[in-house]
Amino acid sequence: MDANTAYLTQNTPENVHTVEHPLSGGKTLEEILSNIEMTIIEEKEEHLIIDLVGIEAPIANALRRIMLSEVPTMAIEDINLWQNTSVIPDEVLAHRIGLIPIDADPRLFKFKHPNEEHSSENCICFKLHAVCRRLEDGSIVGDKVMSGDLQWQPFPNQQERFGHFKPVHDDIIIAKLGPGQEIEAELFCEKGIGATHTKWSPVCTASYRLAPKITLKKEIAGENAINLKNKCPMGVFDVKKGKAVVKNPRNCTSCRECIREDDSMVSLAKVKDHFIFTIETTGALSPRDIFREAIKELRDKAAFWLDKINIYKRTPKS
Amino acid sequence: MDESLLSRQNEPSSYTVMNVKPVSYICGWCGKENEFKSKDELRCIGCGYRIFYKKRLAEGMQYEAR
Repeated sequence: MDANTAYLTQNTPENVHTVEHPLSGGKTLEEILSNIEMTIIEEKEEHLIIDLVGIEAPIANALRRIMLSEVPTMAIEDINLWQNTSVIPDEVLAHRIGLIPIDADPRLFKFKHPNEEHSSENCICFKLHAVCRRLEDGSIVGDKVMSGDLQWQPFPNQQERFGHFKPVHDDIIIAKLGPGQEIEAELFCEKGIGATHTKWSPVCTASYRLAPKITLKKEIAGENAINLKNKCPMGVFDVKKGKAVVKNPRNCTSCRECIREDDSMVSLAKVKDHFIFTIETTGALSPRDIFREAIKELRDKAAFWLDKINIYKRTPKS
Repeated sequence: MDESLLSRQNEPSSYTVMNVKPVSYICGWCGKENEFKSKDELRCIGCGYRIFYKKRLAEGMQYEAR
C-alpha cells in the first residue's frame, strides 16, 4: 500500500491517516517546499478550479477557511432610512440591502474604526430612491426595486481616484412596491471580513476535494468492460478496443458503485496530498485574486505567530 | 347642543393646535397622497378608494445591514 493513497473499499476507507510533522517520520520542510505544485485546471470570470499538489491537509483547510472568512471585501453596513412605506419591514430591508455584492476592489480602502467618520478612504456611499406609481391608464411603474437602482454618491476625490462603483449585478430584486409606496435610503459600504458577517465573504463557496485515483487491478475486457462502463453514472470508465480504460477519473463522486461486487477489479483511491480547489466568487474580486489574497493572509498569520514564538524563546524563564 | 358646537368652532381646538402640518395618507389603490380634516369623508380624490396608509413621519432611522 502506498502511504500517500487512501483506499475506498466496500465497507470502509482504508489507510486514511496522514503523517504531518517532519519529526514524526514525514518529509522535511525543504522536501515539502520543493514538491509543491499548482496547476490551474479551469479559469472563468466567476470560478476557478485549481490543483494543489504536495501540501498537507491542514494547510489546504487553512486556505479554504481564510478564503471563506478572512479575505476582505466591501459591503453595505450602515443604512439611513428616510422613508419606507413598502410592505417589507425596515430591518429585513436593511438586511437584504446588506447582502448585495458591491463591485469594488477592497484593497483600495481602509478598515473603518467604529468611532471613525465615513470618509473617501473607508467608505462607498450609495443612494436609493424608489417610488412606485399607478399611471392614468392603470399601469404600474417602478414596482420592482432592483440593485441597479443604487446611485453612487462619490465622496470628494473618489471619482478621480477610483472611477466608478456599482453593485456586481443590476438585476437583484431588493423589494417590491405597491402604487404610492416609496423607499428612500442612504447606504454606506464598509470594508470587512466574512468572519464578522457573511456579506463580506468574497466567495459563494470555496471548497476542496482529494483527487481520485482509479486503477484497474486486472485487465477487464469484453462484456465485463461494457458492464463496468454502464455501471458508472459519472462516465469515469470507457471501452477502447474491447478493453476497459479509466477515462475521466476526475468525474468520480466516490459512489462506490463500481466496487459493489465482491469480485470487482477496480481500485478506488484518493491521493492524500492532491487537493482540487473550487473557488466561486461573488464578483468583487476575481477568484484568482481571492486565492492570492488568502495565501498572503496565511503568510501574515504565520509571520505573526513566528514572531510570538521568537519573543517567547528570547524571554528568560523564571 | 348646538351652542356647544358653535363655541368649539370659535376657540382654537386641540386639532388645529397639534397638527399645524396636515398629515397626508397614501391611497391603497392608486397611491395618490390625500390630506384629510377631521370630518372629511375617507375617499380618495383620484379614484374614490377607501383604504389609506399612513406615511412615515419620523426624520429617518439608522440601521445596521445585518
